Amino acid sequence: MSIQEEIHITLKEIQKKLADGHNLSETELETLFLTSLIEEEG
Amino acid sequence: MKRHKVLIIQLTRIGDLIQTLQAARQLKAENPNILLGLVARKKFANGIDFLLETVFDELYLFDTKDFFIKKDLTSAKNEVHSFINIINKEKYDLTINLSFTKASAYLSSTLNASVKFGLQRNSRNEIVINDKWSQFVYSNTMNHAHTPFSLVDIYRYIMGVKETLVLDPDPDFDKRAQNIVIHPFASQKKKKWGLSKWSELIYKLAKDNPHYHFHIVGAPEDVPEVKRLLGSPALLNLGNRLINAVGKSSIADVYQLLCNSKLFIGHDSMVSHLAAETLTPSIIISLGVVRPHETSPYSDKVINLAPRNNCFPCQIEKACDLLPCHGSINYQVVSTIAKGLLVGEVIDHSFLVNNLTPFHLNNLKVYNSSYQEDGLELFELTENYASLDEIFMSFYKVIWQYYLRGVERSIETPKVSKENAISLYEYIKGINYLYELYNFGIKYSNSIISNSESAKIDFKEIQDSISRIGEIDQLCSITKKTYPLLKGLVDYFYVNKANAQGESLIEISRSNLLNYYDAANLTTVLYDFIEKTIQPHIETQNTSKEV
Repeated sequence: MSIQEEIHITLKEIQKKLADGHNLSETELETLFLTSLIEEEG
Repeated sequence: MKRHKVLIIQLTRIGDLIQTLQAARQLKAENPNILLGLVARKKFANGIDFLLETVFDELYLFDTKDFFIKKDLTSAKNEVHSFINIINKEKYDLTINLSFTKASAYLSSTLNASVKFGLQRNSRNEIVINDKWSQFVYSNTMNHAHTPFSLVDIYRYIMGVKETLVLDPDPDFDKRAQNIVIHPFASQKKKKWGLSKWSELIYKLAKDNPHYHFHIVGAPEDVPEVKRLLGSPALLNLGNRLINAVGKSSIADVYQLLCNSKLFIGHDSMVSHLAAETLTPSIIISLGVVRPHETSPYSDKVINLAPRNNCFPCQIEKACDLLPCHGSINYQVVSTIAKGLLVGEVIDHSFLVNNLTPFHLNNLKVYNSSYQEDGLELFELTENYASLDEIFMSFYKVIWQYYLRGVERSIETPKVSKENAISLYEYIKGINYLYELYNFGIKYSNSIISNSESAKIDFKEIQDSISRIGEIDQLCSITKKTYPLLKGLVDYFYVNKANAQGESLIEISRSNLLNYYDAANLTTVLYDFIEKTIQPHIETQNTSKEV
């Protein structure tokens, strides 16, 4: 599995967690930091 | 005595980092005992580490690719976790995110600090901004409203710095070599002159100032452009007076060169901010999306030239092939001002009128810069009637200084043309409408509070009041579209309300109540300003009628 695919799956999981009304963990916020960096740098 | 620890997050470009440095230096000067840390990207910070180290006690630098050393997501997450742990070990008391990007918001949320300023995300992935000046940046500066403050001063205000503490003058300035540094490049086509204008300017500068050497500086990616520039027939005879340093010098080298130069000429760019750091007199040509009052280099030795075109400044996303603002600034204006600066003349209105023609001056504004009580300000030397944007900027300067810093400042009533007086008069309607809306906000917030506190709660009425407040937000949004210069005010209070303190409905409603009171009060202040400004035109009209 490529890194992009891994990121895509991770983000889907995070979105589902939020949609179900759960709070994000510290680890998930760190992951979103990482994915945002990738997004900003194209 | 306990040493307080402050961490600044600045993940954006080198120019922003230099401006952050300039604000942080003032924070450190006012609070010498604090420990100051900085989180930044290596690719931007490494080139100016020699400057950053003079202010910051700790530097936490990263590049995204560093996290992916093992080329998989799991180990990248571990690397991020380790990086954040290193920062958190220091136990910072306050983090200040000056980046206003998505990544920086998440980073801020992962750092442990008692107090956090700037953009962050909570565990529900909602944007949170706790401090008022960051709310101002998010609602005004990020949203293309005309910000009346220098970005360095805004950073300073966010940091809570009270005094304007700047570098001492260079006592050895007269010993500097006869060098002029030129940076004819910018990050976007809209922000920079075409090469033909630059070649005309350099030719004229060389002719007017025969003892000077001209150093063109730039990054490796500017090399193809500088080749085309140097290929201009006008520049072929300059020989060793024209030195091409593009792609050949580090930022530290450019800094040293600027320290030994008498003048810098360029656009709004990292190099212009570096010139400010070296106290080198500068002529800045502001074009396209540049907002001079906000991004002019932080120095009182700057002459900033900006076009008078109605479309200036434009927005990044707006396409423009004709670039009409570029034609408004002639190279002769730049060369004349440059010659004046080099012989020690004071560049003021008289200088411009005596040395330039109306043809040169009609389509542009010439600003000089000076440090005032609240920071750096640009003052127009060309003495045109203020545009509508400028009039509102002057009002907002007073309003925000009062509301966000508790500082009372007065301004001279702007001189306005008859056309602008009519436009201002139209704005009174918008302001009155906003005032009514905010008063409705007060009414419905009060209704929620009193209802929630009563013995018999009427849930339907509470629900109705909440819906009404939603409608007020929508109507405010429509108002700012009809009256775009009210956008700054409307957007600020929208963001402020979105970050209302409180966990319960009553607490949030009390915060909203204060928000609406403040918003209504500021609209009355704006109304008073407009009324005073258009008063002379009303009096003239009445006198004419009497005659």
